[in-house]
Amino acid sequence: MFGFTYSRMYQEIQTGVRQKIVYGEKHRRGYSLMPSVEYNKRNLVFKGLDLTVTANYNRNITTNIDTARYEYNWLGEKQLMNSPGEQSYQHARLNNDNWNGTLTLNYRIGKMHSLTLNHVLNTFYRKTTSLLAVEEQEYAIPKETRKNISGLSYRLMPSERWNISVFGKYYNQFVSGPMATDSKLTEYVRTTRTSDSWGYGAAGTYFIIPDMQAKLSYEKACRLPTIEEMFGDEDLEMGEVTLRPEKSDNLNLNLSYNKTFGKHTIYAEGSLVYRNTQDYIQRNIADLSGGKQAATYINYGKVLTLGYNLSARYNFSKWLSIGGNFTQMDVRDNMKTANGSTAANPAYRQRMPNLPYLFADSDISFYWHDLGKKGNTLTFTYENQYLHSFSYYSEIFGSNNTDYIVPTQFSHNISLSYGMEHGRYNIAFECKNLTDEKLYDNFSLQKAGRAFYGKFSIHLSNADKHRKHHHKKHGKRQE
Amino acid sequence: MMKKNFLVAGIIATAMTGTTFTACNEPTPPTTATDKGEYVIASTTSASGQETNVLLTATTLDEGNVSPVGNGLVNEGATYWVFYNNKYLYALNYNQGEAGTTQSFIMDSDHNLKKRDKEFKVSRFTTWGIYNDYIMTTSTGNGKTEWADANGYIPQAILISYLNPATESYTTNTMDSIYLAENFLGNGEYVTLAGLVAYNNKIYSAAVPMGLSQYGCMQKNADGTYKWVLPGNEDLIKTESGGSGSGAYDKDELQWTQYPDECWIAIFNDETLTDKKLIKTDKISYACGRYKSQYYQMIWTADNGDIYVFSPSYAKTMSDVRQQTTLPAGVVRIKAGTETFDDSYYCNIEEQSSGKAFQRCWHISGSYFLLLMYDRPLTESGFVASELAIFDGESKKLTYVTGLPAKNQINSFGSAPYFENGYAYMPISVTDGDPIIYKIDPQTAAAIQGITVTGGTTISGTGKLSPLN
Repeated sequence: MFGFTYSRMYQEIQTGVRQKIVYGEKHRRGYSLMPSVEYNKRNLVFKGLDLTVTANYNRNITTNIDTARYEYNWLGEKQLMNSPGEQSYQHARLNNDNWNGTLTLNYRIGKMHSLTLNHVLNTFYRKTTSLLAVEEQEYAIPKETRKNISGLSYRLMPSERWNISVFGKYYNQFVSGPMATDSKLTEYVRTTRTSDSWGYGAAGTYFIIPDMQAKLSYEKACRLPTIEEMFGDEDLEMGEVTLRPEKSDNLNLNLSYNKTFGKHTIYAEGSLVYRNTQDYIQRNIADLSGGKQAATYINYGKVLTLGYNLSARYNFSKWLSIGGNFTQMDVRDNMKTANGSTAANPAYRQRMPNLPYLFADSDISFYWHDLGKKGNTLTFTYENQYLHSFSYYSEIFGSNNTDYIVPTQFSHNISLSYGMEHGRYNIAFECKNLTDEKLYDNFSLQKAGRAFYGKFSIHLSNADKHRKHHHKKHGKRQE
Repeated sequence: MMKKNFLVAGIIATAMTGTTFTACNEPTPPTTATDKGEYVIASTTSASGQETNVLLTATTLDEGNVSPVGNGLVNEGATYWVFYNNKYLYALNYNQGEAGTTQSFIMDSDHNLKKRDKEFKVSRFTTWGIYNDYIMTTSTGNGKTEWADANGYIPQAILISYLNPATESYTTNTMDSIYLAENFLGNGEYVTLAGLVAYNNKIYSAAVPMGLSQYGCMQKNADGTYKWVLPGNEDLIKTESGGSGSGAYDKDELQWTQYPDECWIAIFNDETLTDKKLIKTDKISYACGRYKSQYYQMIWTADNGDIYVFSPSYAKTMSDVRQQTTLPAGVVRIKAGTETFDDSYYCNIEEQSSGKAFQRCWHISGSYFLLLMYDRPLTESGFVASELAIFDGESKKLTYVTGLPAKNQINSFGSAPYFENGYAYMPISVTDGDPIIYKIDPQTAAAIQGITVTGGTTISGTGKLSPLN
């Protein structure tokens, strides 16, 4: 099966990573082409062996433009500057090439056993060209990264009631990019690094009573740094090439209940999360030479996460769905000593700063099936989101903690959508942040106030018709 | 937080004349907590993957300890902490349009620091100084685009910012061609100013030549030869862009000066920096310390009005031998009340320090100066500023400071030390333990341990403020 995606993007950049300085004309634009392919084969070579291969290639061109002659203030007024560039005079084109591929081999042995081999490949290659002068000037050293993750798992399914699996993973990462050789920052050389690590784990599921399932899993996991964490985006985000992967011991316990009584369906779920992380990678504001501030990443130390999540949902027939989620996550600094020193870490056991720890959401949806014409559905949804306030800096420092708190936020969205011909055509209107609440992300950048959206989508493939037939046969549909 | 790795082996250079090393002093743990007072300590703690800046106050810098846990004012930090007239504290933060506004603080009657309402977006600067009602900052950057030459290259100009602490205002200089930094010294090169010293109602500044900008480099004579490129230096002209930050260069630029064996001082009539007098000496190289994008001030007035001019001969680190200086790090001076170099005065610092230069210097009191010395000559690689020394202008004697923690234990020195009653208070952060302010007596060059910030990682500066309300 082949696929092709073409997308375009235009984004205005209004502030830096902190909402202090404002820009009027700084923006970025880009487009991307992505051909993809997927291949499935059952009973390859011999019976019981299934193969799935997917691959895609993404060519993305993004241009960062900061060539304004004027500087702007928060009132929208502008004045001429001596030299162009609101933040840093640039007109740079980033050519990003990504290859992604996955391979899955699944071998079923009898009724109870199965063995799965999985491999994921990601490659990234970025070349930067400056378009400021009349002639294009390419920066000599491109940035690239190659990630290979292989996994082998074995699963035992003695009955419908329970199953258990064990798995092992191997992570390998190669990165290459420019690094300065001296403090004058004039000489750069291509630097490469390869890092690898092993992971493993086990998981099991068990139906305690019919309709109530318990899941337990343990994993010694590794999280490789992302492209953004290592290389930045050539603009406001600074990368860090020497980042090590995060290592963690993860334990998850999940209990879920799902039952249908006549027209009513209920679903409830609770889960507990424990994570003990070392070499935790954190996004951070760094003071560069001369006091510039950009976001960057560091391997800090040890972090302990303890959290739980509760979800519930109730559906009535085909026309009502109501549900909600509640999460409390405690992420605490678990380093006894300060960075590289024997001095005590004053933030030991304190919450990691600038991370939300208590949030919830709920929603209610009404469906009118066959409204207007058979196969058309009108959906009305109301949803809200709650976020408890949290501190931008670690709570224990200073006597003016209230200066740096991201406030509690409670916002509401409503949407109305009309699907025609079993979802082939869909038109939707949405109002986000209905009450115009002040909303922030975790670096206290303000998000949009009340905003309206309209969407229109068309599904052109025949595969959808296939799926719709299945719906009619099976009857039940779960949102 | 600056983390430097010192080569322990390099410490074993003991055969130095005129210097003695006592056994490395282990800091002793502090005893009682110190009350809030008029002294201000700008501390930073690196914890939970973040750096939190806290301004603390204390009744004395000589002893005791303070802590940022539940105490002090959390703030955005500063590139430079500037204490103005013991009344206002400015956190100078420069940026290229990015985050990092300049904030200012005052002290209330309870000895708590309070942030004043206004924040300023100060343009990039390489040096600052206090002159009359202003904290001035300058940098050298692109002038008006209308002045560009046929290639589209814009000449460099001196960009000045004025912060007025009393009125909480901020202004910049309007762009007239009189601010051109091009051909500042008559040799075609453009300059960056280092240090703005108010003296006799004038401003003294070191004009550091930077080489030829694209605008200056591409100027040609009638016969087509380069107007300002010295014969034989044509291969130094860059053929493509590269580098980054303060080391960035463009095509058609001649980066770094062609005249490293001279030192120029500009004497401006007032804060507009328009009328100037230039004086030159060739006993020392250009008078500024360098680290990444910083151009550290190296001209200071002694108590008797003599102006001392230091040069670390940083040009010795240039990669091309034509741009390196042969002059050793040294000191000259301008006698009080005159506007010319004192020809009878010269001191060769490298003779007394086994060839080692310095990254920064400050005036303490009288004619004593505090120098932040590199641990090896600039001609060797891997030099790090890790030692302190006292220079006596009158006797021309250089004495290394004793009583400090061992070199391999020192992480960084504060960028804004404080000087009072003839003593120097230098904040020092150590690799293993809390940062401490050391009190140095220039007459004996001995340091004793002062106040400690428990739970801190570094102390960037210290000073004094009188409560305003």
